[in-house]
Amino acid sequence: MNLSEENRLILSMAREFAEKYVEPAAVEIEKSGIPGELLDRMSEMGYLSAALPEELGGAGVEKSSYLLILETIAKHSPSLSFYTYLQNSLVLGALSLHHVTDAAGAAIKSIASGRKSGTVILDSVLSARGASSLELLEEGSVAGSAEYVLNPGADYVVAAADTKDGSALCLLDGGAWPSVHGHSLGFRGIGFGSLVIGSARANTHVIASTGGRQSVESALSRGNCAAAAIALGMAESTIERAVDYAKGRKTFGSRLVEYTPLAHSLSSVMAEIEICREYVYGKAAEGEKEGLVAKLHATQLAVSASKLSMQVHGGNGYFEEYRIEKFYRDAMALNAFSGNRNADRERLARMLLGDGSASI
Amino acid sequence: MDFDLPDDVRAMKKKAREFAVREFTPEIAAKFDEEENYPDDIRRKAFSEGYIDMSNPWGMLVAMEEFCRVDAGLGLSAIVPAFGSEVVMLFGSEEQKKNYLEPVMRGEKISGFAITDSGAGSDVAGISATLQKVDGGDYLLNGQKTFITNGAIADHFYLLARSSPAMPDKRHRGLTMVVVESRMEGFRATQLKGKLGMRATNTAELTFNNVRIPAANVIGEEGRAFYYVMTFFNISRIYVAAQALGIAQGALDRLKSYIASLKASGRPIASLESTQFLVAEVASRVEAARLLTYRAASYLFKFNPDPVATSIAKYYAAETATYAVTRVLEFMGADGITTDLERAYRDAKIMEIWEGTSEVEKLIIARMIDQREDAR
Ligand SMILES: Cc1cc2nc3c(=O)[nH]c(=O)nc-3n(C[C@H](O)[C@H](O)[C@H](O)COP(=O)(O)OP(=O)(O)OC[C@H]3O[C@@H](n4cnc5c(N)ncnc54)[C@H](O)[C@@H]3O)c2cc1C
Repeated sequence: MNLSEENRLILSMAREFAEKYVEPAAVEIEKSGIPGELLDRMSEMGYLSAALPEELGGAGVEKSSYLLILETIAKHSPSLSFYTYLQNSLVLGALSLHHVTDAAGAAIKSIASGRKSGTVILDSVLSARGASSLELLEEGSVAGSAEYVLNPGADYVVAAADTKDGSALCLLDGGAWPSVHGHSLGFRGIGFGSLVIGSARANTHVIASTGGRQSVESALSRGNCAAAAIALGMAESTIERAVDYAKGRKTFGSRLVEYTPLAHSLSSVMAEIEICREYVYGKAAEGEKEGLVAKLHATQLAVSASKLSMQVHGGNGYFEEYRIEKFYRDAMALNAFSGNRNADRERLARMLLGDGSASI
Repeated sequence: MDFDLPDDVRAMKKKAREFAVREFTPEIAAKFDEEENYPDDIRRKAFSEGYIDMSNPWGMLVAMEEFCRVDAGLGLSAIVPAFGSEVVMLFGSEEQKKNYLEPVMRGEKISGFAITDSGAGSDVAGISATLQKVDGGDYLLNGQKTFITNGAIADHFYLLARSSPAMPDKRHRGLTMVVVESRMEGFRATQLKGKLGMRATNTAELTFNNVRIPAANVIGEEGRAFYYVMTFFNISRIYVAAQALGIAQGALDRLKSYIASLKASGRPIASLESTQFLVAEVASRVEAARLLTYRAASYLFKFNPDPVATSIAKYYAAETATYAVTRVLEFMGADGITTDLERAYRDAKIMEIWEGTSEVEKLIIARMIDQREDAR
């Protein structure tokens, strides 16, 4: 893998940061959310706005550096990594697709500072059921509800809201009432719930009066390489832990790594991770197709790697204490929350096989 | 060969399904999962409706399947109070049956089966708890066990310990099974929290500090318990296969109703071939797992168990449980992980681990397949 000077510097700083601040907080994050002081530190490092260009108030690192940050944090706390991606790729990503108004500028600033946070309503993308919808009313307020919301207690909500002739992209600064569900499958450190939205005109900012849905989809699609980097970090971490365990644990007088089935399974997943990593850093940021390929592949890899790791750990892996089960849960959550897999696969088929394919 | 269940088993299956749907409501299932508590109320109801009845093994098997189809954590909790009982039934003395088996069969007591310790799970002969003979023929039990189901709620355990040092190449000798009561002095149980799934079941770590075990509590013969444990697993694995089968069938049920709702709202994905193939692929494996499980059960319940058939059923059904839930969840995405399928995803994984990991089952299949009668 060819790392630039900047990449190398950022990677070594991210590793140090993750070991010093993320690893010790990882359990607490899962139990009671991301501590405020950790967010302050994340902000100081520029992580909460890493992907946003400097002229818009972000840290403006190279795209590959942003991916390295996500990957590194995901190795210790998938929740924190996903949160970073949610702020950067989705919230700031959607806002920065358009002319930055004063309201958007203020939101960007406070998200980058870690003092406030945002979320994006993805229901219409994530759900095939045609879940809830939002409407931009004539007097300039937004009403409706959303069911699949990560970080439901966010200060800012970015959402596409239906208008008479399409959809608008709105930034809501208040006017959203969360109800948080206990015990979601994954990313427990971020929280998951639903929102009832009834914003007043004063806290509703229309960022773009048309193409709202497309903006959200575009932010998600541009973020595919970032989702792949998170998945990669999770796969690496869960397998590193399995390898350590397999080198130490003995059954029938032999270490687990000596048994061919385990050794083959572990080494082939390690090889897959290596290939995937080359692709993620070599190509994933190049275009829509590459991002999609990377995400589909890496998220699947995170699921299979976490399953193997759990199996290698035997009964121990089934308990929180060994910190393996978290990857098992989060990998599936990443699959569900980084896009709609069926729609993504159809899109990829059409890109590779042409219109009309994958339609029957 | 007859692939239809007899009427009485079919009736039991239907009754068990109704019980599960009635008792394992989404709220109750979510509550015990979140709080990581054992549902004693459900245990009592299931007992009073006759789901713990060793004289009706087919009834217990299909009840296990139907219960886990609705919710595996509650489902197992309803039947697991009698865990380990087969070992006393087969190898216990009359007195042990009277003191330990019968109260469990009356729903008054809970039992557990304690083999695993922190150093050895798959490698049963590698366990470290010890039994030391003292004056008067009693034993002193020392050591620890971990991951013991019912650990903090059981009244007694059928426990494996080493009674004479392991000889190289003959490590499976010198192991003895005893009944340990939780009220005995020197016994301590600590519930283990933070399980991925099956959180309604109780799991604990046990420690023994000079626990005095009367000679009358030795099951069968001293030193021969490795064989009893393997015999027990040949029975219990069939029930694990039924748990796994229930989970897999439950995933298929949820997939079908999800697709029906997509169809009803006119979503094109409902009619794609890829969607139909998913149903076909999951359904085929579920049916294969069911046939394997029922076949292994039919040999066992005719007192002619086939360890290869049992291990094949357990291995295949366990893999089918994780396969089915994973495929369905991947398909349903956010629409799936926001439902109780997420719990099934957490519950399913244990099937590949407990009572013989998938790897251990494969070793058994490979080692024993040549010794098997060809007719099978
Ligand atoms: C929730 C829960 C409840 C449980 N309840 C009980 C109970 O009631 N009573 C009880 O006695 N135990 C119980 N167990 C323990 C369970 O049976 C063991 O965890 C299981 O047998 C695996 O043993 P282990 O955890 O020591 O893993 P290990 O034996 O250390 O195995 C680790 C990994 O190595 C693999 N492996 C080991 N040897 C080989 C080999 N030769 N070739 C290839 N692969 C190999 C295993 O398959 C596994 O993937 C429970 C466990 C859990 C998690």
